[in-house]
Amino acid sequence: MAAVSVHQYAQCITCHAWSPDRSMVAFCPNNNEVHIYKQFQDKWEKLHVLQKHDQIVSGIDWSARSNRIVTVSHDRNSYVWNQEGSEWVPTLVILRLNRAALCVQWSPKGIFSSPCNDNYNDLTVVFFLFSLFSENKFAVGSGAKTVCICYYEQENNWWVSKLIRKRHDSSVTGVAWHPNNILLATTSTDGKCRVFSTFIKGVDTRDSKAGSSSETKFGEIISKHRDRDDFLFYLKQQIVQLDLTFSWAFGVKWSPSGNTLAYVGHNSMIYFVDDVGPSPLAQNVAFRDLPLRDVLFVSERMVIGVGFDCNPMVFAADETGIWSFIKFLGERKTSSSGPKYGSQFSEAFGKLYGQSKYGVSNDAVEPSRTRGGGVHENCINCIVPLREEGVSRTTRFSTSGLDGKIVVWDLENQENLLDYL
Amino acid sequence: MAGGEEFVEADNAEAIITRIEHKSRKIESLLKQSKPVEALKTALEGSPPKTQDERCKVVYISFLALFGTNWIVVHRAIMAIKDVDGMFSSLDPEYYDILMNFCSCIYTFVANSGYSCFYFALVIAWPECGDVMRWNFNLIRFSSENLLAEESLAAQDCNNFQILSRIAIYRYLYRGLSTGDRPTCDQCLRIHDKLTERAGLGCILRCLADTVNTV
Repeated sequence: MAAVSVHQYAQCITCHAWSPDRSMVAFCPNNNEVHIYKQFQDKWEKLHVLQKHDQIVSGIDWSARSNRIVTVSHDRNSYVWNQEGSEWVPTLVILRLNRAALCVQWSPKGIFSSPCNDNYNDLTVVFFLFSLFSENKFAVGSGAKTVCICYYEQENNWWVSKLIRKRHDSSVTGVAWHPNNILLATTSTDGKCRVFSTFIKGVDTRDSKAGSSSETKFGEIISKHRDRDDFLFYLKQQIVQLDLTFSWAFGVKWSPSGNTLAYVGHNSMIYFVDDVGPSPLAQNVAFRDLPLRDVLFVSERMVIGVGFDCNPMVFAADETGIWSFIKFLGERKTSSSGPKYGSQFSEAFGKLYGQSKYGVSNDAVEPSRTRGGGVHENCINCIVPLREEGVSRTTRFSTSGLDGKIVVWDLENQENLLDYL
Repeated sequence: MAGGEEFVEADNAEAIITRIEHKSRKIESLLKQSKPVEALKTALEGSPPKTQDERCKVVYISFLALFGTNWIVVHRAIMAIKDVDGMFSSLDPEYYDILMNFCSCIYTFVANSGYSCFYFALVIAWPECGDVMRWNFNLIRFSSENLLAEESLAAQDCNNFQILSRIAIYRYLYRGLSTGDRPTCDQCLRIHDKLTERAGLGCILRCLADTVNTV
């Protein structure tokens, strides 16, 4: 069985994140709070409740190195939480948004990934020391068609938000950092996936490894690409804009090496993009079930997708680099498709009837039909890797969804998938 | 078919058109005699022994001529097909190869011309054609070494072909249902049922999400 632990924490979970040592989990139970649970022997106990937001918390990320939590909410604010003693102390980050914040992610590393060069003064040395092991930026996607890149300003002792404006035509549903700490991929409900440079002078160093990407200015997209009609064109200022889907785009992620980008469309398609740059190579994979909400690269050649089908899907690339759907990770009851669709229809009908009768308005809290008897009983909207220190490959990850469960999955005992890891 | 003998030099555009007209007249008459399988066979056979590409083009164009691109003609084609499974089973396996040859260039045509009724007619008649084509292409891919790169691309195209064609069918089915006409709705729901079994819910979503290609 691929699911190694299942725990019902709440009626509904909007998002979750793990502490660096994975002994604690932080999640939002579909309200303005963030609950932190810790495992004591076999029991999970509630340790802290972070209360500062006014509305639903839509994104949580727990930094791996500096043990800080960043939360974003529909109230348009973001807080960075630092643990001082047994308390979590919030610092308000003013995002300067006029719409809800939707997603957040810490950048993968601090600036000390690169050797020092000669272009720094004393202040930056202090800053260097401060952020030696810590993530120095985080990105927030919002309903205001903007992306905020937030970084800590040592001299003023606050978090500064820089906005990428006028690049998205609709809400930003997902953000993903490239391993080089400079490139940021976003997905939006305008159906496009874009890649930006987030190079900030004084925060990022001109890293020779990042190559030409660090030469581009802040907020610049790296190259433009359009493949829907087998038709490519590039803009002069090098912008990547992947225009592959007609519908909302969600859940963008980079592969561990940063060579491949994956994102999903709301039309039951998943898109894989290789060689992100002036001439990207795109692949579309259509699958026969309901759309995905989020994806995760467990290796260069394997992707797990989660979404409305309530069961994680495995996608993998063969030797020639062609991606395809492999299987569902959770067990599915095999039933003939005819009556299955029929019962779905009558269930949906009954649900509609029940709703009007009892006035149940919140669809999210109501347990949805179980599609084939999987572990999750409703849409999965969040997938988080559980990386061991010093181990390159990810075999464990956790998913949470509208059914309020957090499920930990392990690929170690899946013999047929080990080739792709 | 007669077209094969008449036609020796394919370079001449006029000759192609004449032949297609001839062929499409024949196909149309077969359709009138309610012999949709015969019509499909006619379209597939008798292509000149030229390059694959040439033959594909000819059949493709005759299909376009046959089914047209507007709803009225497609509607007629839908209603002409009485037995979806039966139609497929009466198509001989010898046509598989010809059909297989089409798909790579069909895809190019489709990319250029939008969603054509060609697939619609083809896939209604034979919903597995995408699968069979892909399967055939995989065979080619593994057997021939020198064409490996090209053929794997073609396999990808077949995959796309299958996806696009199914979406196209859904589009026409929903257009048919929107008429509210009872026999049309009956037929559309029948095909919808079979297609959902084969193509899954994802295909319906792709059809609904597609705002650009509409019927």
